[in-house]
Amino acid sequence: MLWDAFFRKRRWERSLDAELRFHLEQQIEDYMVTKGLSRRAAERLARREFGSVELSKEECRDQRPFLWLEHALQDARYALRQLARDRTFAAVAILSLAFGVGLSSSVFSVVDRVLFRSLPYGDADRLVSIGVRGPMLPYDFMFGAQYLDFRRHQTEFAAVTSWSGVHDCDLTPGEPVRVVCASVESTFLSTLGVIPELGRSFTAEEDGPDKPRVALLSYGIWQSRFGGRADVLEQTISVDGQPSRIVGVLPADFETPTLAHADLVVPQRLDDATLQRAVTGRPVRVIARLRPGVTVAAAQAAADLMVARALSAMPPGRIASEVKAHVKTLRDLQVGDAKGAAWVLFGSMLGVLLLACANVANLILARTAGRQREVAMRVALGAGKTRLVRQAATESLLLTTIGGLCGLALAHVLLRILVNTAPGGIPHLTEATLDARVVAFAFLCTLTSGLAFGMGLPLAGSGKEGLHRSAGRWRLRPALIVAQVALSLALLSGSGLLLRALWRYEQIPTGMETEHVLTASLSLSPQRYPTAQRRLAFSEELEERLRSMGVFTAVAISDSHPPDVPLRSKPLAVQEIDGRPQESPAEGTVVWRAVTPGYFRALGAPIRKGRGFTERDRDPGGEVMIVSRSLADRLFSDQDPVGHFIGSTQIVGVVSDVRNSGGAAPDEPEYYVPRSHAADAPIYSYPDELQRVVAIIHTPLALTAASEIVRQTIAHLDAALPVQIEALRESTDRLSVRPRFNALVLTVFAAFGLLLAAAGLYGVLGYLVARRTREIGVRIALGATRGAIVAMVLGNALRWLAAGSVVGLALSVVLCRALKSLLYGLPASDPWAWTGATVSLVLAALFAAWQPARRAARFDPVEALRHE
Amino acid sequence: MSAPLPLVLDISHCEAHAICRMSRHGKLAKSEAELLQGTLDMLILKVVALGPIHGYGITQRIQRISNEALLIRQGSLYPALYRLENHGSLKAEWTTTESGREAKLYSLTKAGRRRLGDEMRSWDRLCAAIALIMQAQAVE
Repeated sequence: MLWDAFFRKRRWERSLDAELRFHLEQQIEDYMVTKGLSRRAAERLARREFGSVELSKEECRDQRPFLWLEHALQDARYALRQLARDRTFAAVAILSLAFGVGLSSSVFSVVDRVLFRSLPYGDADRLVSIGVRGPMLPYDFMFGAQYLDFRRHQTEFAAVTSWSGVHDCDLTPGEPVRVVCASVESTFLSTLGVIPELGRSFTAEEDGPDKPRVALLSYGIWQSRFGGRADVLEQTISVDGQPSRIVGVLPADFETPTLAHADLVVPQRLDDATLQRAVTGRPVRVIARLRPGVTVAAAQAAADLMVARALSAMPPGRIASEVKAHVKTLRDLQVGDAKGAAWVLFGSMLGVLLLACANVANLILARTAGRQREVAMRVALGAGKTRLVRQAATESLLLTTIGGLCGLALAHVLLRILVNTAPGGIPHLTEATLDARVVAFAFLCTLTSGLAFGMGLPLAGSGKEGLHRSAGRWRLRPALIVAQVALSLALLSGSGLLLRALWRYEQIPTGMETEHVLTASLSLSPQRYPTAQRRLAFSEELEERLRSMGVFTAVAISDSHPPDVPLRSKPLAVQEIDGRPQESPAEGTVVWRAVTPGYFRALGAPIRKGRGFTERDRDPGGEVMIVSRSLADRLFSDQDPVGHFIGSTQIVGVVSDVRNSGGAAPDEPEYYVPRSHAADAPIYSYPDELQRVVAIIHTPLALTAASEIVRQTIAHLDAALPVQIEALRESTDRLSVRPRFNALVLTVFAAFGLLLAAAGLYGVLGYLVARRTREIGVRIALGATRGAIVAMVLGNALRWLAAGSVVGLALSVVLCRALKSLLYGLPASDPWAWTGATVSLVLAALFAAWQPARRAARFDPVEALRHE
Repeated sequence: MSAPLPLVLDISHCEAHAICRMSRHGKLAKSEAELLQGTLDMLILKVVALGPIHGYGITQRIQRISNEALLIRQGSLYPALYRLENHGSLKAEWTTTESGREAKLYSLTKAGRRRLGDEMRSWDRLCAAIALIMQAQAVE
């Protein structure tokens, strides 16, 4: 029976009707019997006694169960009808919401992975990386002896461990396959708080050069090569030709602290004795867990002390001043300079979200103001305040829900786009999915703004005064517009700045000719090429074969190619010039490459002074080098460096600078030495030297044909060697991928922001004109020209623009300062960017204001005066 | 003729002055509404406890039992019946009466019986309290 009231209303109504009718009938019969009245008289009396039947029915209806649900549905239907009637309002509001929710959700998902996600280690916030950043290596490290000393004497850390990074290794059960191994200390997993999925971690007995070899499998390789079987434990695999026992499997979410991929984890095989001996060798990367209550600052102080102690043991020199200890949290280590881009995304997302909320608020305000009379009428007819508020809330809710759902769809699309166009190096980008938190966050923002403004009117004194009062919320709307203009200006300036920086960045000459040049990179496996002689023989054989092809204009061999960073570097300060140490030692590092004589020709890098390398330079004996122009400037200022000596090597030429920083950092000075034919030459004494071989080929052929030829040549030499062939143009294009991405993202946001602000301005001006219709009518009737009316309307718009610009300028300064790290040297107060931003804003505002102004000027004064 | 005028039990009795206010919720003095509503509910439950009965029968029976002293306005009876049914104190069923008509008969549920007991007890307490006050002599 109860459910009937809700689901089968008609039946319930009929039942109610029948019941009341029965009552009446009984009463009538009663009166006919007891009072002896005629049927009609009895009926009249009975009805009078009963009172209003309809009223009773109303009251009975009010007692129905689920009344609140009925009301809610009623409200929702009404709200939908209202929205359908006012289509422009609905469209603009829903679009604004969709943009706001969509953009913020997609961006937040990306940013969240970079900035906020939790690392897969136990209590990851207490983990820090400690090390010295010297000019020798691109990461923070400690030498073996210092590490041992540190580990023994430190007090700030609950646990200290080390690892030696990742390197290639060959795995052979079955087909030899190139995988990546990470070398770690035995305490590595326990310090990080990682529990193996299967088996155990390493024990202290396995630390040491002569101990039996063991290995841990990564989850991925366990599934793919070992079928995910539990019996892998105690199996033996061959790593780099050495048998190693599998002792465990890592969990699925494991990652190395630098996010470098690792298929196997092996002990780094350094025991205390080995470490002790390595005073300036065996660099290891140190990770430590802070004790509870110890801050990063305290850890930094401890690290500085350690460095000072270590340096006091070494002879004083110029290196000392450049060596600084760094303590940074693991998250900072990983995020690195993706952080800048991530915060830019986050900030601009907030800006656009705010703009969207402001727009929605504005729209809703306008609407509720326009419906004040309707509301007052309803109150006079007996609607309770709760009911009105509930109805307004339902409307806002419906609007924000529809907008939010559209936004969700947009977010999906945007996320795919972002992930596909983002430059590499943003960690975990491909795993970014729409997070429930993210969506909830965006929804909440839009919901709050919608509800706050939607319910404001019915809540605040909407009594009978409402019939007479005009929209008291007028002050608020222009304030919102000013805020929107300010935000929009800030976003536009930021975007302008990034675009300028991008343009500037792309103008920097690469120093080489990038068309018609191929690079082929390969890495010789230590298993098949165990000695330096064999590796050198390979690269010389390759060079010979490529040259004898006859279709290439220039062939060169090196160990890396620009614009990538060279593999080796030295501190500048220690270089001796002409046998004497430098008077005022230069700062920084110099990088160097060993190249064949065809190198400069292949790259098209012109020799400025002196000469290039000849084949004779490659014979053992005289040592020569060619310096880059920036190195010459640094060490020799105006003098001609040709003929001078750096160390024991004579400079024979100066070549113009070639980009060699691989990306955002400034380029380093560089020098080149010829690739000697002797395998025991000192330049080959570095570990893993000769393992990487890069062939640089200049060819007039089409690049696809040329790369095929190169691939086949290499295959003839060694069929199992994996080769990466790329056009040089692709490598240089990659340089500007990140600045281009940043600029693109911020520009898209700025464009959306401008659109939203313009839409908001249009709406408010339209409302202003509608509100002041009578006044405009009077003015026209009194003789104001069309121009004067237009000027009046535009005057309002310009006033808001001016106010917004002032605030926006302040915001821009803040934003541009925050963008500093992404500007690649452009000063943050570039006037062009701000001018461009203001001009586009003014143009957009004028465009938005033109229509309402024109409409106002076209008013027929008679109609306008009659307008209520 | 000397019988006192019957007490008209009518929830809307107190609102005769607010002609333009259509809403029944809100401004009613809380205490008055509670007393009247609660009393009406109690009476209805008691009458229904005597046996399944339809709405008209309830008014007649109350009138008769109270010797014409209490008169229930139909406008308040039926909403009260629906409210009680909603709360689960009464259950209703359409049956055919002896006269051949279809009538909706209300009967008491177990919850209703409990509610009736509660209401009776609080009514007794209230009456006792009021009686005490009415009999109070002036102190000093």
